[in-house]
Amino acid sequence: MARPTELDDPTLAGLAGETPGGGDLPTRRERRYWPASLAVLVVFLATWQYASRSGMVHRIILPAPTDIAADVPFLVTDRDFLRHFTTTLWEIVGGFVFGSLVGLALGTALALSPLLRRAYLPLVTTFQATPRVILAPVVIAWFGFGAESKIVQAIILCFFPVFLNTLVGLSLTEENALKLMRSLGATRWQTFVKLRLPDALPTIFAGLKVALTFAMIGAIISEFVGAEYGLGYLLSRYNFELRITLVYALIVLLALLGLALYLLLDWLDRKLVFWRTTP
Amino acid sequence: MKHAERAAPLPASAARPGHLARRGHVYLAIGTVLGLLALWELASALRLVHPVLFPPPSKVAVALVRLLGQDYFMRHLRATAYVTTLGLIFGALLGLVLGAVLALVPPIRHTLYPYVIAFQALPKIVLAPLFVTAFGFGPESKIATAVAICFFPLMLNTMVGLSLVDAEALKLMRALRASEWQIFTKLRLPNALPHIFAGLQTSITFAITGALVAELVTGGGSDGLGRLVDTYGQQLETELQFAVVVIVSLIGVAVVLAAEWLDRRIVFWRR
Repeated sequence: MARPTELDDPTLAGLAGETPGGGDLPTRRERRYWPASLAVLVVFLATWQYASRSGMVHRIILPAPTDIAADVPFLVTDRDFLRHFTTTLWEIVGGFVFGSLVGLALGTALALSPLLRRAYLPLVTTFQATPRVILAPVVIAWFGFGAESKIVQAIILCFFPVFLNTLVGLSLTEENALKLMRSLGATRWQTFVKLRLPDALPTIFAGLKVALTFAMIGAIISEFVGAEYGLGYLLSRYNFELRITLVYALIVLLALLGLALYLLLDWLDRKLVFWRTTP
Repeated sequence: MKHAERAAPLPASAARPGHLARRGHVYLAIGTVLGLLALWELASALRLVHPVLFPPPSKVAVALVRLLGQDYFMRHLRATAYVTTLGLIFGALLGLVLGAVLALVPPIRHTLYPYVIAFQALPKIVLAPLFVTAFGFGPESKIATAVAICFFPLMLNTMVGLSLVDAEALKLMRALRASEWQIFTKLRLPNALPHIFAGLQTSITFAITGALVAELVTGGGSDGLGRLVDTYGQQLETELQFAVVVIVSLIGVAVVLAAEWLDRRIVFWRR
């Protein structure tokens, strides 16, 4: 019996998906490392606490974890906090949904029409190659300081993965399956809805997962550049007010938000693409 | 006979599709772009849209030419290029080293795995304001932001490339009693190079993005193309603003093309 190699390592297989958060939850074999992981966290926090409290690193750059935790109640009980939170949440979700719709529509159109694909795929790919964050000030000038500009920025950043994966996914259908549909007298619509679309769904969902991260990035960048409400706006404001403990608290909050949204999407993925045997 | 009366609109033979069928997509693509630009120019001239919010392409082109000749602009271009390059170099080094460690030392990988996932969930641009507070308004904070954003994909790709090698090849080498170093240089490294270059392409784009985001966050406090876009916007000099956006876009595309060319030349065996 060969000793297990890294090739059997599910953590690698999960991360090899190369999508943000593409990892699987660890299997039984890796669970024995949890004490070590926990120990790393404890040591890390303890070192941080010491470095900050002893003055080795300035309090402004690295406040102690206990100070951060102590200020968290202040953060969440602020009377506008709920508004900031829901604003960012709607910006991310709205940008993600609309961006995905744009990506799906564009991907489907280009998948079904070779002419459109040959004409527009290079253009879309070129657009993707530009650093679209540079458009943030322009988007704000066009759409204002409200949530609309954040949603537009999120759309601009997140439609491409969905578009590309839709395009690729729809071309994955096997020739034999297509022939079978044709021999059964299926219309183009039936073939699309009952064969090509389900075949494409795993790939499309992989694109959706990537798009979620980009939607979040777009919303936050846009809030940095100009906003009245939102967690990113709050982070920027607290940063320039030098209330760094609140900045760190917001960073953790945003990471948790990202994780929560991703897990939601993953759950949706497993529910809708129920026939999948491998992730 | 029927075929003599039949009109032949395109000089096509049965074997070879007509010119339009072969090249039609090029015309469609170019036509769409030119059409949109023309529409924009017209809308601005007819005052259908506000000429400040939507500066016509003609004015943007003029502003672009003017900008390229100015020292002022070159200073900002150099600032962004400097930040991007250093951010990419440090980020690539960090990503390669961390990726290699995670690949070659499985216990470390298994221990740190939850934190890698957690770090993945964090949109790393939120660290930009923190870096500005820690390192000031100068290039250091921007380089730090660029590094933070661009090292991660490369680290993942390096780790995957160095570990997920062909099972049979690995078994063969172990059967031939190859040392870990030999396995590394002769199997893992060649296997990893395509992944590393793919990660590098992503990293280059992220490094530019990181630099620009950091410049947008610091606003007028520093030099850089992002700062220019922000400042011109606030001063309502939108022709100059759009000109800089066009320049940044062209640079981004050029960099991606260069990375792809490099990838094709160096990882030649994948073709």
